[in-house]
Amino acid sequence: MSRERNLESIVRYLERAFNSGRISSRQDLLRYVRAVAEAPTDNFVDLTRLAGLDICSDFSGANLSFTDLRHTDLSEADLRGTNLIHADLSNANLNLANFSLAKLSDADLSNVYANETTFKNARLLSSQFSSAQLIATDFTDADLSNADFSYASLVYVDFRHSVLETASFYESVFNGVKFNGANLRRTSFECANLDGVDFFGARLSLANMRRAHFHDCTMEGLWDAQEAQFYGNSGLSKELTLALKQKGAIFQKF
Amino acid sequence: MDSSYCREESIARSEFFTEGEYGDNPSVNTKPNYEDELTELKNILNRDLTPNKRAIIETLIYSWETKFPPASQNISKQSISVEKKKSENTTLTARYPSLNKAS
Repeated sequence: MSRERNLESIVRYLERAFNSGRISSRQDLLRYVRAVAEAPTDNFVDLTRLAGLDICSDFSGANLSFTDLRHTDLSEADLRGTNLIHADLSNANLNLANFSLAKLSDADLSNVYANETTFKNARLLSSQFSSAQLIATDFTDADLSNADFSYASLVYVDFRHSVLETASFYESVFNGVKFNGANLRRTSFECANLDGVDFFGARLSLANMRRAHFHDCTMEGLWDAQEAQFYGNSGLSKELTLALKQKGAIFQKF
Repeated sequence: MDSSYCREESIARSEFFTEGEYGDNPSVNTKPNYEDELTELKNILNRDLTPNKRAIIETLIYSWETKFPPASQNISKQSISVEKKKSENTTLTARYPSLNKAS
């Protein structure tokens, strides 16, 4: 929504709420708004305190697009359905936070700590997770098309039924990650370290698996691997290589 | 003109316009009593605020109604529950007259 339309709708809301008497203590509201607008700081946590809001519980469904949340402690925050498009969350602490159904497209989440964080059904198109530390993070049914997870550390992360088309996991380290039923078309796992990764039912067509290291991975039951590119890999048995070739994977130097 | 029509219209107008606001008399204040606050809020929202300040102000405005409901709403809610309890009691005593005797 453009700034003008957003402004129009909030003014219309205020007019209706004031007129019907739904908003009490108008002077108090104005005092808080004035305090935030005129505050000498732009720190999100400080402004939240000034507004008398709770960072953990008051921003579910709110519009936080383009906000600067760098280094912010959002652990255990309820951000279900929150609009965080283009928000900068780099280096933030997102442990145990809930981002289900949130809009995080083009958001910067590089270097975040997201242990046991939920991104279920969230929209994370072109989001940045580079160098993030993700443990038991839930991305089930999320749209992560074109997301960047380069150099990230992923332990027991759940990507089941998520969309990761053209996403990148360049040089990422995986341990016990699930990609069951995920769309990994054109996804790059180049130079990634894949330990105990489950690809059962995943679509791997045109994926870039060059120089990826495999250990204890489940590659059986792949939905397809048409034109997936393999080269310089370690840990792939002869049987698995043959099975991948039968699914349409290409093993050659490009 | 039909006198009953005039009377009805007068009643309708008196119900619609609250006392001291709006009306045919130009000497009466025509501004709603929240006009000043609304104007100032509009002016603040029209400022070139940072995305952080704008987000927090918007969240504050939209959550105010829930966080600080008007006192009248609380009273009316309380009176509703009292009324409900009364009617529940009536229904119970109507059903079980022995309850009255016991009390």
